[in-house]
Amino acid sequence: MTFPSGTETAGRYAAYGRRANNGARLLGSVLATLFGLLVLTFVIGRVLPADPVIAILGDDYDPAAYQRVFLELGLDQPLYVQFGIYIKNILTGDLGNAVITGRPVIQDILRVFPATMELATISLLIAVLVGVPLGVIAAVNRDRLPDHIIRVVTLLGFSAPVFWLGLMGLVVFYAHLGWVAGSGRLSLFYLDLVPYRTGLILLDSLLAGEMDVFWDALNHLVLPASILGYASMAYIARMTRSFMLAQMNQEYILTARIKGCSPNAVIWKHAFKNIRVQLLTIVALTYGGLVDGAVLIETVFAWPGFGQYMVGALTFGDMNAVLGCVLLIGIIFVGLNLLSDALYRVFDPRTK
Amino acid sequence: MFKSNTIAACLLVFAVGAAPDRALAETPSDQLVIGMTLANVLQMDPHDTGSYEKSHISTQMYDRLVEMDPENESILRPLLAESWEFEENGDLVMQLRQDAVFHSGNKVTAEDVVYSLHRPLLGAMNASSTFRDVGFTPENVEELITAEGDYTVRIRRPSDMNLVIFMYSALAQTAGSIVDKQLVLENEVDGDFGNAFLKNNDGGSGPFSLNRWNPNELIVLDRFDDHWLGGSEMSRIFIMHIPEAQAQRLQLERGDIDMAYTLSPSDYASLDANPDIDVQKVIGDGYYHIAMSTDHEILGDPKVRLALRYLVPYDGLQESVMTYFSEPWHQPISRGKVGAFDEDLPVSYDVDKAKELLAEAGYADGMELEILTLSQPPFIDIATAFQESASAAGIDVKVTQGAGSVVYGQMRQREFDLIVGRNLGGKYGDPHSNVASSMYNPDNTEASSLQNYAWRCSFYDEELNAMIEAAAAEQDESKRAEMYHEIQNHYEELGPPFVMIGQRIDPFAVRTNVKGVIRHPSWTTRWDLAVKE
Amino acid sequence: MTEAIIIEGPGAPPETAGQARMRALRGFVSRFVSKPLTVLGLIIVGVLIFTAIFAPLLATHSPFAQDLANTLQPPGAAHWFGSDEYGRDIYSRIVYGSRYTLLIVFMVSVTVAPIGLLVGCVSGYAGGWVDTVLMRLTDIFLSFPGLALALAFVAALGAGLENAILAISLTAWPPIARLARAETLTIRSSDYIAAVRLLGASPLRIVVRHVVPMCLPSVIIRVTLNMAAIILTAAGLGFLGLGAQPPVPEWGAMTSTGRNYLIDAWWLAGIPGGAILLVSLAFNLIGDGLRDTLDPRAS
Repeated sequence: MTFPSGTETAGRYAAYGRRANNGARLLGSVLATLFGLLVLTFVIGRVLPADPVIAILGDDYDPAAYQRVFLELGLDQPLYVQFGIYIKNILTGDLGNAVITGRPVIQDILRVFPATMELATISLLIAVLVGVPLGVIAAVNRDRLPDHIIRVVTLLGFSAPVFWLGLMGLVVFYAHLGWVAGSGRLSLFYLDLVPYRTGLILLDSLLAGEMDVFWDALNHLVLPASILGYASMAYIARMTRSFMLAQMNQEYILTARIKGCSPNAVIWKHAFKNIRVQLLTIVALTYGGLVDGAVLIETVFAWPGFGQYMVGALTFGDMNAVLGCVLLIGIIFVGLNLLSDALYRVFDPRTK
Repeated sequence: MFKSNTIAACLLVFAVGAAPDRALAETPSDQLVIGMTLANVLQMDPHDTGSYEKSHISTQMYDRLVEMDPENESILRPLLAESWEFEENGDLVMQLRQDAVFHSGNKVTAEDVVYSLHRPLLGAMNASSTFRDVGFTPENVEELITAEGDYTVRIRRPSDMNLVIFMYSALAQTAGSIVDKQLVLENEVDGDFGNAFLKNNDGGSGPFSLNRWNPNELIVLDRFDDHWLGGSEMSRIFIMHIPEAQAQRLQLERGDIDMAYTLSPSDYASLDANPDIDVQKVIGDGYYHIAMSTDHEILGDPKVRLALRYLVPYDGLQESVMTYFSEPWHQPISRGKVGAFDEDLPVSYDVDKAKELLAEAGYADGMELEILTLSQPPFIDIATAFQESASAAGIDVKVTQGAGSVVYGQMRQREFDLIVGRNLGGKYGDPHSNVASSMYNPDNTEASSLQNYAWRCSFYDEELNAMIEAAAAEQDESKRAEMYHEIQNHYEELGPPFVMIGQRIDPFAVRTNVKGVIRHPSWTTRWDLAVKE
Repeated sequence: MTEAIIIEGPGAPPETAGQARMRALRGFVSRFVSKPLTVLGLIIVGVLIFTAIFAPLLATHSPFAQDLANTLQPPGAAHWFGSDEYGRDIYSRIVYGSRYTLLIVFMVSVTVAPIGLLVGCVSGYAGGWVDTVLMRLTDIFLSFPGLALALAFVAALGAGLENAILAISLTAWPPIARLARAETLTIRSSDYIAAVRLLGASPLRIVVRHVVPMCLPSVIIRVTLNMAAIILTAAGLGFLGLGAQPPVPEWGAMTSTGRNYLIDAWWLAGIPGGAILLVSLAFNLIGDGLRDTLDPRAS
């Protein structure tokens, strides 16, 4: 939940792009960032106190087996050799094998990432569907009671530790009320009903026409997604309010009002229409910020996603898996930044 | 207009939230659903890993030659081995049943058995330590374990040690799992004995075959219909990764799962009162303990180690966090075994006594120590309670928690002061199991091929080693019992490197409509025997 | 939100820079405290600081004293907020825990501000390859979500309160550096700096004596805005077992251990989690008030 950093990252790559004035330079700077990220992670990974061999063999390990696995993992090589091999493999599209699963990292990521993406997307949807109207209401009622209430309510979500909300939510909505399903993504008995297409269960079940599976998945999803969505709602509502206020001070709004447009028409047809692009960039950046919340919420809900995978990899000292995760997050973050910049430049009339 | 939009959005959220719970209230009658944490299940090769959870999975996928009766561990029962006898020279000759087949359809023959028993040592796999314990080495194992015809296996003694111990310590454990030789060889890569293949695949003949394994998510096992036992009543077993103990309990209470394996103390207490749920407490042979490095400059003094023994609030722990995790027993050989004492070691929380001992050792002014612990209950609870109680004697204890790969990684390098552990032998019913883990240390160098708990604590005594070897070779039971008494007395004089908290219990909770599952003390609980009412 | 941080003062043109600053500040403060929600935030933080200072007087028990005979007692006369799994008094632990919360916020802030200032000002003032290298470094840190990066650092450094503070600091400086750089770029081209340069001041002297002080107000405000995020990150690390170690009554760690007793004894996790919520809300209210007061579009 890095509330303010999202906007601060906006425009960075655009700046490079403008300065460089060509795509190649931009690509170069993105690659350099990713490379730096990998170096940083590799150094961190090297000093991780966790012993991946013991992670594999357990605390009652046999010394000969220890030696064998140690060599298998290439831990006898000096650090720069390990890094060199890693980079070489990356260039051929091989992210290596993960210790914590014994499988290729790329395969793992393809398996866990859709789970997180599904969660993050629905969260974002909730945050936008609720947050944007709230922001508009707040702007319209600026400094009056609705504004204050909305501020407190959204800030509460932003201030609450997500893991705590998750735990409390499980007790209330699952244990006591029985409204939602427990942890995991799907009830067991729906497991094999839907063929794997995208890894997004909601989508896959719709494609297969299995409505029961769809409802079950939604039942599992609603609580963690609402909590994550609630957490990012404050940011979206706040930015919406701020954008709206800026619009409503503009002359054309006054003109429209004088011309006798109804207040609602003014708000939605004129003011809101003009902030859509700005909002879109904010939404893109919020999406990346959801990764943080996912790390915690996935732990609480046993959500078999990316956050859990990364925490597991870190605690077990699983270098390949950690590096794969870092690379992916880096790409997503940089990608979202580029996207929001592009959106801004393409759609915003003022940058033209 | 914007208001109606908001309302619509809110309605959507709540409508979804309030949608009827479509999960089935009860699990189907021919499927078993188990909740546990799968974080320590990193691969499926039965010979290469030793976590508690993994051991249970291997038990279902792989047959062993024999098993121990879960209610009386000294009784060996036949599985793939129909019968066995000891010849006069001590050789063990086993007759295999002839109707067993692997999941691949291949027949289970003596050749498979011999290959499976060579594999841990030749492939340098984790299970090899139990083979080494008895004296098998990669050099001698091919000579000593051989096939005689299709269904007879001969095992010769590599040392004076009685091979019954080997049956308990290796053959009845997952270390003695029988793998499909032909299938494994077909999938061998660079002489890895099929390790890469079995990490992710099934090569067994057990009552269940591996259908699906999503690491840290779930494992699905399917009934093997051609199993020699005729097939389990359960057509499927789901093992779900539920890391939060409280979530596991909720799902158990609601009937979403049938069994829960990793709960916290308060969960067991409350489930015990629930008529729909049965909490099984079977005493295991290991111990919860605090291990002390004798290599440490202060802890090297036996008086200091003894002093720490008086700084554990035994009763308070037993009545609160340890109720479902341990039974009071503090002697090094588990209660009831051959050679075990009748009386418990007199231990108590006695700060004055501890202070006196510390003063005698020259540490009246206190000291600073670090205790490493896993971050899960009850380990972290023991560490926290000890931290508080030891402060009364001026000992400043710093608690550092972490995952097993962190905590035991440091222990492996013998760089630690104190560690909360759960071990000290007893995966089988013989007293050798206890002493082999807690006090036998034939080679105290860094290069030792046996890195048991005694080695990790740098605890070494030549005389004790000799006594242990002699006792393992002794055939006469009453003489043997006497020898183990002497071993324990001598060990006590040396100042043990462990403060015993209590004898281990691995509880689990099961819904009462599930019958037939009896928790096995050595992590080989058979789920195929489950029947649902 | 770099664009938002511009301190404006109303009224007539000031005679001196100092006077202008004072007038701006006065106007700013009066607008700032005129909002009830901001005042609420200030009150909560005030109570927090008061609690931390007078913890020994406010606590009814020792935060570490165990009573294994009276574990998991519900809130009541004996234990206002109940007792935990070792029979420790939760109220007293919460009271003492306020010290750790403040300590983390304070330590991270005082670590992050100088690092960020230094990197940003040097980068902005020097320009050229120094700028490129420093900003590339900042980008690397920024291209990763805060908690995940802190998690990696603390996993490498080893769990513990000091390391958690260090890890959070390592992840929190880049936004400050970017801000300081942006400010420096504006300041650098000002007549004022040009005059100083003409007088023959060394670049180091210019950065330290002239650029840094001018960046300071906006950096301080930016650090304040970040305090709630620091609290939540620290709590998240504590929750994952990587923050403060037992028996330290850090609220995140308390919530984490309390989750094993959630159903039977909600107060173990509920109360410390609620405390985190309250304090982080207070910092957010203050931050929100600050932002509102500073946002030119809102005035």
